[in-house]
Amino acid sequence: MQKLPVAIFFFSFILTLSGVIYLMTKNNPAPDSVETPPVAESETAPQTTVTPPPPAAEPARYWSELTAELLKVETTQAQMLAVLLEKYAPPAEKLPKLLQIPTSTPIEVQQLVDEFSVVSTSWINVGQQIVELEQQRQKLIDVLTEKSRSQKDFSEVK
Amino acid sequence: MSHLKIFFILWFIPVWVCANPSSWALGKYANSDSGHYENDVYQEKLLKIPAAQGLEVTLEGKIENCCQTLANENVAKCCQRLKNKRCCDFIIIRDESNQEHIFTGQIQEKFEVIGASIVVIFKSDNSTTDEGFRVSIAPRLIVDVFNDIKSQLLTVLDTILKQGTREIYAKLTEHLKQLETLNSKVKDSQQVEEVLKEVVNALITLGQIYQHSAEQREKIVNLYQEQLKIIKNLRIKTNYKIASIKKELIGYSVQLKKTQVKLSKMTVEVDKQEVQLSLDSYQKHVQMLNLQESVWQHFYELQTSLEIKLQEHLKKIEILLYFLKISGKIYIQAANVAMLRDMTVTAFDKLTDLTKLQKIVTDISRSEQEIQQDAERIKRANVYEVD
Repeated sequence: MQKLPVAIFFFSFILTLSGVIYLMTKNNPAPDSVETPPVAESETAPQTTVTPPPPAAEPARYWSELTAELLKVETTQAQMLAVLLEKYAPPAEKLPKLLQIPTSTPIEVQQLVDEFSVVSTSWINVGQQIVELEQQRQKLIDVLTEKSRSQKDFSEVK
Repeated sequence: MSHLKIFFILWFIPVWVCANPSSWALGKYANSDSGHYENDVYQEKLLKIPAAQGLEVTLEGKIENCCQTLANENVAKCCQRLKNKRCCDFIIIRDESNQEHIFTGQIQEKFEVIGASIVVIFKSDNSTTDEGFRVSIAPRLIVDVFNDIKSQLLTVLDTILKQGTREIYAKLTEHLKQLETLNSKVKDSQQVEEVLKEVVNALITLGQIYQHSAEQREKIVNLYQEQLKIIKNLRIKTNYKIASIKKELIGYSVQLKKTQVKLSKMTVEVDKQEVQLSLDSYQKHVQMLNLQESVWQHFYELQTSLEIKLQEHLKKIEILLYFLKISGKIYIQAANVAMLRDMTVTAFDKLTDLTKLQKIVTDISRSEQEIQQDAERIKRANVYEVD
């Protein structure tokens, strides 16, 4: 009677072990057991295609040659943009709104400056000047306010 | 007494030759029974050809490849790691200037080293062996050593001065053609809408070309550094050569002084004649070695100055690439602004800074010219003269 639990234990142990071995061999098959998929036979005769020769690669250049080409690109582009601006640039009053908003608060002006600073360095200067003017205007307002208040106080005292 | 001398010489020559072999083989190449080398081998062998100025090393064979599992890794980088790896088979060849060449896997190599000897180290791990290898050395003349350094320098210079330009140049040329066509179109157009969209697109394309070029910076710098490393190694070789000439010069100078003292003490005319001949020979040797030292020294200085110039040139190229990066951003932003603002052209005002670009171009062109002048000096240099 006592041998029965031992036999059950051994039986379940062997079962578990064989299960583990099965799983291992399933995931990592031995090299000999690797099955190669059959190669499909083509039904039609292989077609001979003539591949065009690859285009001749551009040879490597000295950096001076490259920069000379770059200068040509930039000059041509600058000429083209100059013609474009000359022909179609709007009159001064149609220039960006940035130049027409002296009443904006400094924060708004700064945001606009940030937005446009990437476009042109000259615009950055204009924007900075506007910020400075705005700050000066604010100071002037403060001074005037203070002055008017003191005048009022003075008249009241009087 | 003379028999004893002959016996000694006959005994010494094979012993000396065996002590300094000029080749070494293992496995199939040494006709082993198994046709393979053994596991767990660590051997060092000195291969030497006395009085050789330089050596041509030939290495062939097949050993376990440690880098095969690392498909994405650069083989040179992998080989550098091998020395610290336990589970590996590899061969290291170390020359007299302590430069190491590491090999693994299938090997078929021929290269030159400075000096008269090399140390070959072979290590195999505890599993997987292969056919083995054979390494042999042959002497090289001083002229060959000089010309070899010279030709390597010229190759490196040509490579370095053209590094990374191929693709950028091709794109710029292509874009220039399009720009020229567009330029004529802009001149002839009557309506802004006719051309503005094309101009905006051209600007975006150029911005993208510039940004793509700027992105190559790291790659270009790395390739440049690799080439600079080769120059540095050539400089080490040259320096080693100078050191060996100096050593030889000291030896001959000592001999010269000894012979002068010996001659001053001699009285017999016939004996004096013989010693005088030796003295003349030593004087000529010293003279020749002094000349050689001066030539190699000039060659070394030329390489040092070249290395500095190349480093400065690289900085200029980096500035150019940075300029392209910034310009690329500005062009794309300007194009976006032009489109957002109902296609007004004001976004294109003062967009191109030709003055800055002109300066960068001049700088690059000047430094390249200087480097090419040095390259011409290297071309003209020979083992008797470096101007």
